[in-house]
Amino acid sequence: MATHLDSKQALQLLLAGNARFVAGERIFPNQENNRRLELTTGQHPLAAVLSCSDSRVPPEIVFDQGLGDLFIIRVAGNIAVNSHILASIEYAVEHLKVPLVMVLGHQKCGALTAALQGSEAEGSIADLLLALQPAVEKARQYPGDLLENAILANVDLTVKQLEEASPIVAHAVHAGEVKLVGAYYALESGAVKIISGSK
Amino acid sequence: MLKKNPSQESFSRREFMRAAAITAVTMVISGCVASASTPPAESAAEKSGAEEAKEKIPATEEQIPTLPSDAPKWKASLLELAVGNLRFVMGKLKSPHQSVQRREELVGGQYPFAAVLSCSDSRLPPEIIFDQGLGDLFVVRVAGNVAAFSDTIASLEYAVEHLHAPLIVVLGHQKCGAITAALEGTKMEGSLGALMESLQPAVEAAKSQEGDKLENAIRANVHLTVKRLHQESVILAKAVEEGEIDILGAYYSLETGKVELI
Repeated sequence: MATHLDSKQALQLLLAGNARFVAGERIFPNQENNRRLELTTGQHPLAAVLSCSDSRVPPEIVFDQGLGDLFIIRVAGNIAVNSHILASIEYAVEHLKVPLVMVLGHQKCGALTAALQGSEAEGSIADLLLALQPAVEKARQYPGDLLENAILANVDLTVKQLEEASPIVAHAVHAGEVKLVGAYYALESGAVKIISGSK
Repeated sequence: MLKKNPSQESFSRREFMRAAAITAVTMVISGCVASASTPPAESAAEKSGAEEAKEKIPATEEQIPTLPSDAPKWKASLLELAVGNLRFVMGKLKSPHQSVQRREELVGGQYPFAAVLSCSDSRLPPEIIFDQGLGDLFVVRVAGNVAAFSDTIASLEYAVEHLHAPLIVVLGHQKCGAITAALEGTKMEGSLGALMESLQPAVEAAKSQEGDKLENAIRANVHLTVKRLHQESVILAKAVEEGEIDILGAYYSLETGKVELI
């Protein structure tokens, strides 16, 4: 059984939790032993979040959620280039029936900073920086802070990519079963802002 | 010496059973404890099992063993994780490093003490099961905790090379949905199909083993992922060889909340 929430309610819960985090009034929900034991038979998360591995942006803390609440995919630069990231989102959409998928970028992202600087890198890191190049290119077309623009562009491109590269996600979006949103986390204020969303 | 507090005097049977279970977690720490300054034990013969169990549980901050100053950094990280997991299992979360002040302190940079590669499953957020906070853990999460693609490896390389995290923990878990599907040989389209394929080596490895197929596949997957990180990443292999980091495999039980090294 999936969560009974629709995408709007799920998003409201996340933003309400984030407001508690910003204000320093967290309630640390669903983190006790009873909750853990209730979940041994299955999970019914209210949303999937694709975010960065950065230690400063743990979605459960930033949204003040607990065990079983969020299906989380985390990788440096919150990209959905490789199939295991897409597969994880597909699993959340198709099998767990989450009503909401959020792509969460964040202020001062180290991966995008490195991609912007065109840093020399070996091996896998070089691949990662290459995967971030479309966001860098897009950001160069806009005035203002290049890093901020690249972070926002990367979220937009990733949201688009989820639909374009995954027939499962695209189908669920068109059927109205799931909503995709792009969001931005400010390290300074702790606030999450919604920057893009599907219909 | 361990301090005895009044609540420990009235140790009920139920508490003891729980404590005994927790002792297994404490064993996780034992690799660290063995070389640390353990409190001098009283004559073992005079003690009941319950008392021994009690003594192994660092119930307060003072009881947590201290590491020798020359211990490798990854051991201190492991101890930190094990003690945090102990708090989680005991239902005594401290939820550290989660204040507004902590958030503001981290605007200038991050210095995580460990990196964790775990599953996307909503039931095992590393920050909660290890009772850590903002800036503590660099976390990579993907269904089935695989390192089959370069972005996962790149993320961990970034944690080691740029952030100097001294420990990587690959964390598998009980009743993993991705591995269950891979075991059942469920036909899947697109990206899910590719994920199932990358879990096949673990499924194959488990086939030749006795016992529960799913449990074996989950553990085999952790082993293979740890091995893969050594093999596929020159950066990580070099850091391990030079003793700068260690890469450890672990297993999370949904039922007990315990993390054990495997």
